[in-house]
Amino acid sequence: MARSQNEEQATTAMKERTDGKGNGKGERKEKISGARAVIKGIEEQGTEEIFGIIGGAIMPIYDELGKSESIRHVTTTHEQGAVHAADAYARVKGEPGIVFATSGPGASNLMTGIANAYMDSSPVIGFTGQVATSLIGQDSFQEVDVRGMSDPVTKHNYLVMDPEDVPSTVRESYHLAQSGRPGPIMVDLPKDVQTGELTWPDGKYETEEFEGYEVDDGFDEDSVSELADRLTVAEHPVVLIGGGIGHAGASQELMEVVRKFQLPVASSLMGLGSINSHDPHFIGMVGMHGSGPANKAIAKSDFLLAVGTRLDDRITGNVDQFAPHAEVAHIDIDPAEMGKIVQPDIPVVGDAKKVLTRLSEELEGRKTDIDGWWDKIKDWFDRYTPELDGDGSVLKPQKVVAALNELTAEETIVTTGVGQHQMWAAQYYEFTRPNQLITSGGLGTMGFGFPAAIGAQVAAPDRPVVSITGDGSFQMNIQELTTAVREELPVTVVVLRNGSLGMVRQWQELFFENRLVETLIDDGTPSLAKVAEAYGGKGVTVAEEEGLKSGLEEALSYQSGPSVVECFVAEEENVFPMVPAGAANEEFIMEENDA
Amino acid sequence: MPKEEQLHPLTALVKNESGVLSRLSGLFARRGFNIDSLAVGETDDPRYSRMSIIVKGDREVLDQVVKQLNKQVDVISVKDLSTASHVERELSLIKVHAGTENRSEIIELADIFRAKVADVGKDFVIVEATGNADKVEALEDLLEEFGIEEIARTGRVVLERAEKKENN
Repeated sequence: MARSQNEEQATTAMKERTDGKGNGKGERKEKISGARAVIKGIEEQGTEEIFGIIGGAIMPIYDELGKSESIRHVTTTHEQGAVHAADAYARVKGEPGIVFATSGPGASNLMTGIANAYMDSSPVIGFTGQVATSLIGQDSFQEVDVRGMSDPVTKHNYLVMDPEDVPSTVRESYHLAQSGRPGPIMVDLPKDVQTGELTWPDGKYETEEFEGYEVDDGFDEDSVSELADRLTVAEHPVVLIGGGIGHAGASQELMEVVRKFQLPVASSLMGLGSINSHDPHFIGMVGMHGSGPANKAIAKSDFLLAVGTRLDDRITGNVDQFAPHAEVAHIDIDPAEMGKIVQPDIPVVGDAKKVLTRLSEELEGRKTDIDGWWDKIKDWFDRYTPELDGDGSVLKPQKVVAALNELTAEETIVTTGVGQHQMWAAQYYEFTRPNQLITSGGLGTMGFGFPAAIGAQVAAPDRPVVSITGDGSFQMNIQELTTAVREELPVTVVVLRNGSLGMVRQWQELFFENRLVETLIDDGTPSLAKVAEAYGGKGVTVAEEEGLKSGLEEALSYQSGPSVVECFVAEEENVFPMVPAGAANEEFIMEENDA
Repeated sequence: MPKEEQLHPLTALVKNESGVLSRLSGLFARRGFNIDSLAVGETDDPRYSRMSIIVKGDREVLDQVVKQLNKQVDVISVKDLSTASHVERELSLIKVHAGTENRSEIIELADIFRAKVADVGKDFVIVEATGNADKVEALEDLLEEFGIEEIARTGRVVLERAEKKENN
């Protein structure tokens, strides 16, 4: 502590000198280590919580971290847990999530999580220790080519070879991670760069514009005018939103446009919550497990306004038959999304908030009449709203989610793993705010949900955090119970235990003539409630509908650490509606027998 | 050549740092872009390299290549030279079987193509040919008769022509 304070004082004193009459020339500046510069850089950005695991090659940085008064570090049990936590932290807090790991396996263990952040455009910055520069390339102990490995899954990455480059690298990383289309950054720091010395640069460092990277704040106004004109004459318009609305903080602007023209709004998985699910304009999730009305409406639309979505294959189904009659307007901040999957008639590259604000102005005073279109959509709602039936003899997984939806407050953060439970969470939990659902959308990373809940709880200690997961997904990062217990994080894990890798089993049933190869995992799976207890958390078991509410309530009210509600759900239950792979979205099936 | 996909020359100014070539060539590979030729070299300013990229594909593919390149922090600028007036060159070193009986014939052939003889040995000569790809390939075809031992090509380098409106 003492050393750190002295150092701060010295730096402040130095700044005063340089900001004052002198320009610092000829003054002796204090040297700091590369490791200290990493911590100082993170402190400078105001990050208060970071995640990670210590190891040999990153010890100098942890040594400096230990002296920091403003940074809290959460040690996870596995690096994958740390990076997913940082990812969720970033999504909940709206600022970069930081993860530390050592060289070699520490760094390679991050890769899944970095790839996850890349696919979902999440601003994660990974700082990894690396073997000393003199040892690089010699297959040294715990050496791995972090930059090479992370090339395909990062927005940008660095291998810092000179301590003097540390301050600018940290600053650039923060700027890159969160500006424009957000994305993960990796910074690889050889041990001798951490221990080497540098002089912290004076004055304010401008990272707003640096060579090779600029974020264009503007957009093409003429395109927006054209968009407005086309939207005005559209008879069957649909708005399709994605995660970009949440990134841009554009929910309000979206709703202004939507209300002006009474537009129906469909959402991708990542866009859920960016329009309140209770809003009458919301027609459901689109795509493979989307709602009937949403998929029908897009299939029959004559104008599709896609905002902040990259229109991936889970959204479009068969691309040739995606919105086949529609003129497509595509708003996205990433120019490369224009025409990557769907060639838009009206491409608008820009920040969703700004573009929608302009669009809303353009629509001012204009009128449309799409009542007939809404009649059709309502008809689809009547026909394609699945019933949650059952006599209560078996516990339906959908009912668990529905009950959870009723029992939890609106500000609750929901995280998920990947698979059937994820789709049921998307279908039966009514999201009311952006970034309320923290899920692995692009990469589809099983095991994401529980460590994500940890990151979300650290980011928002006052909000309830619930992780809806499956027995397959939960067990992929179940070791993070240690972290949640140690940090006393009151996350509630609701496990929809169906004894199988359910989504794959569903595919086997539907498309592989029911040959259930290697998808039944119940044999060997322990009592997950007891596991939770063994770790020092709370375990609750629910086996039938009767005890569902009380079981969930018991867990939700437990505040001294993590709780796990193990729900033994109907094993044969499948996710519907479903669009078979390769089919057009409107060819969805509503139940088993439709296939 | 009716059905063949078109070749598009791109020129990109990139940072002259380690890892950049790997990152960019990796980008082409993982996005499934078909790259016919790639040549990189330092520019007059040692902070930058110029990359000449020949992309095979239709307009949509080209469009994506340009956009994906532009997204890279290491890429300063990208220009599609398909429709711009540009100069294109490739250098080829061709080691040809050449005894005393046909050496002069090979040298004569090289002369016609304004190629040079870079090296002469007992059984081989190395012909150094520069020009656009068609010319170099035509020479290669002719030298094939004598038996080509080895070939090394630089790949095509491209540069946009100087603008006429330049005021001097």
